[in-house]
Amino acid sequence: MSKIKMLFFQTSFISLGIFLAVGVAQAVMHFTGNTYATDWYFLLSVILAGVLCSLPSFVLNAEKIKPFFVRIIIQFTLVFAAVSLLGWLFKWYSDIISYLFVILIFIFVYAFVWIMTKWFYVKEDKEINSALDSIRDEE
Amino acid sequence: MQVKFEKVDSPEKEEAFIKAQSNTEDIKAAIEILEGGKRKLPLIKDGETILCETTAFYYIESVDKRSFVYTKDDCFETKLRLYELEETLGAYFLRISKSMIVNLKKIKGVKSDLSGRMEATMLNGEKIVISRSYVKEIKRRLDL
Repeated sequence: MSKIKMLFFQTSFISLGIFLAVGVAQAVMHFTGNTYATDWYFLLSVILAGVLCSLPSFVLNAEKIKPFFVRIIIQFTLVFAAVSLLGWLFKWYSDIISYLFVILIFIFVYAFVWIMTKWFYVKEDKEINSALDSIRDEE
Repeated sequence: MQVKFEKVDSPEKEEAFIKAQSNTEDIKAAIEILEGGKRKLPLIKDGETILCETTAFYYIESVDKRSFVYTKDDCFETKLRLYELEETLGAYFLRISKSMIVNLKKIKGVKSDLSGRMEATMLNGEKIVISRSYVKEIKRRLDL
């Protein structure tokens, strides 16, 4: 998969993950008698978050940074910083409680994107291995 | 057997389609030739030049502007550059990084890690890295 395509997938997964998390939170709040309305720019801000949060994934391909978990720590920090900045700009949080709620959603989305990415790679590997089975030489 | 030839304007469109009642030895030989197999290339080992069938090649690596051919349990040098080998070798040989060409028929399996890096395990157990940007071409060659 090309880097642009990977970036597109990451953006989609991040945006989908945020929509999913916020959607579930809104449903829970609704059925527990609370209301939570989003502002007019919320959907656009989520898509922007998807784009911005997918950019640090380039760090993961930086072969010079070793071992791999150091790259993950750098990427996680950059994404966390991006979410905090966007949250402040778009008023996703107003106090410490709502900020903790944003962090909770961020952790959920971060895990969701990793799971989806892993699933995508496993699926791609399976396809290639299956095709290789039919052409492989006998040794 | 009736043979048809149709000219195409790009290497990507090149293909051969054989319709026959059974896969005879002649047809197998024809497929080998079309796929670039049964071709021999001069390789150098300990100052001696030997002719080696390209079907024995596992992968070719370029190191410091020198090309090395790896077989099951041996390594040879060739005077040919990677881009020349890419043109000479058959459809199952393709570039997997800036400095490496692999024979797809000698890959036991591939596995991606979380960083997106794909690792291929060869039939002799050796592991080589496939750059993510070349995965698309591998899939295209495998008709995926």
